Parts: sequence; C-alpha cells; structure tokens
Amino acid sequence: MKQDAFPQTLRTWIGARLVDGAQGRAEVNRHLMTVYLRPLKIYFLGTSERWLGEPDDVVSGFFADRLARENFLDDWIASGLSLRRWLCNGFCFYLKELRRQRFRDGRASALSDDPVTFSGDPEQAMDRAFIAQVVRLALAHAREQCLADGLEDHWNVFEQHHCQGLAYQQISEEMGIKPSRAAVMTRTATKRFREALRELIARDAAHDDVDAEILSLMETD
Amino acid sequence: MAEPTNLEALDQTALTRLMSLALAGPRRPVDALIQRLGASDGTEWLDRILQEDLPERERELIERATTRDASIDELRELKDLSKESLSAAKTENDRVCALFAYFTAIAGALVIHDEVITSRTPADLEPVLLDLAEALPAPHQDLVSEAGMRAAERAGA
Repeated sequence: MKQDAFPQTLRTWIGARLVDGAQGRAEVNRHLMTVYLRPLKIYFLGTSERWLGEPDDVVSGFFADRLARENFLDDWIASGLSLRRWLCNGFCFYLKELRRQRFRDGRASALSDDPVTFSGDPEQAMDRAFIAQVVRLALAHAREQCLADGLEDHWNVFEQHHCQGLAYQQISEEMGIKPSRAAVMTRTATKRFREALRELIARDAAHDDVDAEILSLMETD
Repeated sequence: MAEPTNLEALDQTALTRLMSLALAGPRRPVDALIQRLGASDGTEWLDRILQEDLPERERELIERATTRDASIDELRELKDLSKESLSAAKTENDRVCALFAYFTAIAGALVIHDEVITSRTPADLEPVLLDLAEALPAPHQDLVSEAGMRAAERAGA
C-alpha cells in the first residue's frame, strides 16, 4: 500500500493507469513518448554528450531502458518532482551509463564518472520545448474535438485570432459575421483548448495547482 | 478561409499567449450565472426568470435593454435594483437572477450609450462579458457579446 501514502492528486491520470496493468502502462508510455521525446532531444543537444549518438536513438534508448523498470514511475510519484524534471534527472544518469558502456567498449576515454555538462541553461531549454510540445498537442486535441462537435468555424476563428494574431474585425470581415460573434466563437473553442492544455500540464505537475505550474512555466520565457 | 496554422512555426510570443489562455483564474461572480445557463435546462430557466422569477420592474427594464430602447437612467436603475436584489438574495436562484439583471444593465449601457456604469475597468469587463455571452441564447447573446467588444475597444485590445 506504499502508494496510498501519497496525495490522491499525484495519482490522477498516470497513477490511475499504473495500477491498470500492462495496458495502462502502455498508455502511459505512449503519453511519455508523445510529450517528452522532443524536449529530451533538445536537452540532449545542449549537453557535452552529443557524441554518444543520434538524438532520436539516444532518447528512444532512454525510454526503452527506464520504462521497462517496474518502479520508474512509482519512484517519480514518490519524488515530488515534476515529471519533466524527473525525466531530466533520469536522462542524465542514463547518459553517464551510456558513456561508461562506450568506455568499456573501447570507444571513449576514461572520463566516465565526470558529470554531464551543458551549454546554456538546459532546464530552461527543456521547459521551453515542453511548453511548445504541450501547446501543440492541446491545439491538435482541441481542434479534433471542435471538428467532431461541428464547430469548425469556431476553431478557425480561434486559430486566426490566438495563433495567427488577427483582430476580430479582420476575421469577421472575411467570414461575414459580426466581430462580437467572432469573439464569442473564439470563447467556445478556447474552452476546449484550455481543458486539453490543463490536462497535459496536470499530468506533468508535482502538485495539483495547475495555475501555479502554468505561471511557473511562463516565467521560463 | 485562412490557412491552418503551422504548429511547428508558432513563435515564443504565440506560445506564451496560448499558455496564458489555460489559466483558470479565481472564480468570479459571473461564473455562477454561466454555470446555471450552461445546465441542460439553461434556456428554459432563462425564459422562466424573464416571465416569473425576476421582480416586475427588473423584467421590464431587461426587456427595454434587450431591444436597445433603454435610456441610460433606466439602465442605472436596473443596475441599482439588481444590486439590491443581490444583497437580499435568499437562494442561489435569487442570486443568479440578480446577476443576470446586473450584467444586462452593464452590457446595455456599453452598447446603447457607450457608457461604463460600473467601477470595473473595461479590461476586467471584456472577458466577463464575452464568457457570459457564450453561455447566453439570442437575443441576449448579441447584446452582451457586443458589450464585450466595446469593453475590449475601450481597454485598447
């Protein structure tokens, strides 16, 4: 009953699937690959270990290794860290393991215990890449939802206003509607986008205050 | 129709703006009204309060605001009456009825007379009115959404 010692809020989407057997675990793994593959590749490109391999291969190798470990995500829940930070830490260890392996294979010098070093601020780069990825995924999800609900025009107005920066006046002239109607249509699509993005951020957060997590991520910029 | 957005090309400004849309913010008084309107019987509820639940004078003034015939004095009267109703509310229904009257007065003043009759700033009013408009049926939606746009113009959006 170890997991019950942790707040329920930490065991929402991912926690629920971890106790749901192999199928749930596979779903979590797909989620992790979808959300974190790109941010970890960006992170990897900022390290001194780029010589270890192609970013795609190295990050995929990391996921294959760590997600095969029974307790990897249970340990994340116990850590109190955000998921992206937990993955970063695990990835650094993995890079050191790869380096040792290369040394044993005779393909590297004997620096295998030196810490991984970075150019720039790798955590900031990772956070920026995370923001870009979750925003993209939330946009794609909300778009799908709007189309499924017959709200294609609502979505188009949202996209033109919030993604392309067009004013309601301009959008309304093109669509033959009043600017006030365009603003209301945007609101409808915004709700779906907000829900999708908050869900993705909640899955990553180490606590249940999604607003605080969003503000903290926005401070990255 | 505009081209779909290239999601790979979103710049940092757009990403930050989109992130900020996900902030829920604190619960506002108008959210109780939006929630009531969003219920499965929301439209029927609105019809009922406009025929029965609201005090007679408030009903008359709401009608005049919706048809855009209300004078600025009438809209101020509606706002004052709605605030009195809000203070005296005994049930949640009384409260959301009063909120509907209140926001109709604010919206009417903005649309019909281009006046702000509340101490709230236009920047505060814009999201409140647009969120409320989204939950309202016509013709109330038209009035409140136009008011949201007027507030946005005043806020410099």
